[in-house]
Amino acid sequence: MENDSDRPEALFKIRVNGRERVMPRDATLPLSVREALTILGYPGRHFAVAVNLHFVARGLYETTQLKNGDSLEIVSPMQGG
Amino acid sequence: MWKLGKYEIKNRLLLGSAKYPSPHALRDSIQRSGAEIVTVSLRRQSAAGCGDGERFWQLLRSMNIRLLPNTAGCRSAREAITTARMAREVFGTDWIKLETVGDEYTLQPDPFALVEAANVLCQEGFEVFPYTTEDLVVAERLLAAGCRILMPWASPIGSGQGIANERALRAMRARFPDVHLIVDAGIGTPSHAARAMELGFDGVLLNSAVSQAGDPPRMAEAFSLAIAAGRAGFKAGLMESREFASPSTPVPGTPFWHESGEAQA
Repeated sequence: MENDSDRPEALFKIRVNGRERVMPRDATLPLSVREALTILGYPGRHFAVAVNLHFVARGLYETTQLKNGDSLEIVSPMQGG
Repeated sequence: MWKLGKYEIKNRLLLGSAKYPSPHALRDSIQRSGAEIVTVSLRRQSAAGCGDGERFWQLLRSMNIRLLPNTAGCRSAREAITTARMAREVFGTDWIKLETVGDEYTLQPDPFALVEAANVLCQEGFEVFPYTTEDLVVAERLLAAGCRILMPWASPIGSGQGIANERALRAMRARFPDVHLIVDAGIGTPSHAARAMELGFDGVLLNSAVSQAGDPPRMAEAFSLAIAAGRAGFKAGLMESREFASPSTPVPGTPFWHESGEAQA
């Protein structure tokens, strides 16, 4: 019998900084911003996050849930004019 | 002393932090010029690249400067608003240089997105430094949105052309005598910056003219001196220019002067 998690449409896919990433999570299960950052390996704290073009404050990482197909921007300090 | 928001600023040079040959060149340029306000940005980082952001952050923290984050590259009000909110959290300041790109060739702002974003951000307590053109109508809208500062361009970003439309900048200064006006973008030489200050502008923001100079720290110092000189000239009261010559040396008592006005043979 085919395993549901083998079907491509069950995979949790999000766009991270413009690139599609597959999260090791079934698309039907919740995924918080905090969990996604941990999975993606983001260390420290000198970055900021937006989901679907909306800013997510650091204090809301645990409670903000991502959905399949969401877009996550993770930015850090950089030189600028 | 220049009172900008809640801060008192001594140096009217605002310096960009991009495109320096090295972090040391950036640090030395800031120190040698005495610039107190430095623009920065937020950019996408991979998990591995976060170390670069951390190192840059530590460099900034080691200097006694005030940061002015920008929304460079944002093409909509939504992008600019979100970037500003992210910048406030990361940099710990409510100052934001608001940029909304409207044209890829000139990088001039989209004035509609600019005003829309300014409306939102001013209501959220940001001190908005809007990068704009010399358009007086857009300027009025920005001030109505709550902006206390305007940053009109001299010419396109990174072009080094200097002031492209001096009459328009004069008109802006005359129209808004009590607004902080900072010329931003297109400055190429210290004399360009001095000219902006002679027109009565409150400050000059520049980046490429220093970072891409042969000796950035030396150029940064040159700009600081030029801006101070221009400001001093403005405060001293510049003479009016004339169509015709007007002799400096007194005419009465000129030797060999004949009543007819001709020199004696």
